[in-house]
Amino acid sequence: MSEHNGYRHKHNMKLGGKSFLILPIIFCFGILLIVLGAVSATLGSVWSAAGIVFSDYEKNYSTEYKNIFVPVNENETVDTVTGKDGKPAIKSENVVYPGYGVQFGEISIPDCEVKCPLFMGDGDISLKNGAGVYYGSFIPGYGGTILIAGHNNTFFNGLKNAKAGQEITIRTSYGDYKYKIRETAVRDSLDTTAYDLSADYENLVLYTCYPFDEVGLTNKRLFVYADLTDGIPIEKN
Amino acid sequence: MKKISAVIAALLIVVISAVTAFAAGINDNEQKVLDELKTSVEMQGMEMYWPRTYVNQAENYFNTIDMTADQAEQIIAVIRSGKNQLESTGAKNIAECTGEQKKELMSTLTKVMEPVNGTASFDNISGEVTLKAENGEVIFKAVPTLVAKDGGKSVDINGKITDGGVIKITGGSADMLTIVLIGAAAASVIAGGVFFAGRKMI
Repeated sequence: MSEHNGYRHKHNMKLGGKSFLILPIIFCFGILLIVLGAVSATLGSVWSAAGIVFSDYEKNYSTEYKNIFVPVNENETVDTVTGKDGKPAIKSENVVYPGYGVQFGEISIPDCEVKCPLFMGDGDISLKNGAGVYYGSFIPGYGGTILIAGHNNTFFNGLKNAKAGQEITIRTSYGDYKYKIRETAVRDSLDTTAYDLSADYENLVLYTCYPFDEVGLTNKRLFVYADLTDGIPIEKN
Repeated sequence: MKKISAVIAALLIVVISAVTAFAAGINDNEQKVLDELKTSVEMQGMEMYWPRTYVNQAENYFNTIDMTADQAEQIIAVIRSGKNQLESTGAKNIAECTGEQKKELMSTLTKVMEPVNGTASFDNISGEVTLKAENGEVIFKAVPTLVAKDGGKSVDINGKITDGGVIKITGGSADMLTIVLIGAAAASVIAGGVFFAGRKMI
């Protein structure tokens, strides 16, 4: 009995005799962080919704990024010239080429319930607010590869329902472009054969992390490949 | 009346000229720079190239400006000088260059941006080079590397094997701060649990 008491005394001395206070605090702090981390997404949405309902001020969404997107109306015509191939082309000078991080359009896939702003560049701010065109690929109508990224838990969550034959629409200030999904494929993120950035024909590649319910980092990506079916190309000098 | 008409006509010409000066697209001068960027550099007897994505980023930037012949000439001259620098390093790729050689290359890159009033910066931690346009917009951001024409793998400036891949992390777990916080919290709870269990056993 005396040995046991002696050990306890020695043990308490190691922690300065404050273990009864310090350990529960550490434990509670840890639990609090886990709970906060786990429910922050839900609480964040509720908080935002409450803010919209109760706030007296109009929220300013324009401070985080620049937006040059003005949709072309259905009955509006776009100035065209005759391209080198004899077909109509949008006058290059009528196209405002978006800089990095600028919203210049909107992408939608009705069958997948995807509809979100489209940015030039796939930086963090762009992907937080919509989908982003990789800056080393090109804008719709340019005649090259359009490589677009989106998060699988937000704007590109609907890609899990993507199937061949579905239509993708990209609206920009210089015209609308329609694509038809050719195929979907799950590939490794480091597989550079999953896309061709040197292609000299218009093709659309969307991707997001796969699987959709993965907790943690994954090397797999779901790629959605689509071909242009409608839209006027931009004039090439 | 004639005078007024002449003034209006002159104003119209000025306005049209101004619009033409800001015309987007790739002009002949910009095309020359792009063509120069597509040429190879000989590194230890191997023909190496900038990844195609770098050239595309330049093309996207050129679409937003109107480069003059003088600017293009200056830029091409500096690019050629940079290529000579790279070839004289004796390295297989940029990653193998010495710290001093990398500094010299960075200085050359800064000179490339000068004719268009842009800037170049290097992040020591990520190894990324960032080029910014005159208005401060990012026009290029990547860890520099050269690749073989057949698209073979290479080594970037961080020593990481790369083939110029550009795919981002797009999972729900991409918020690293949340991952770190939950990870740290879980670790402290486990440590606390182990400690309490240890005490009980004693």
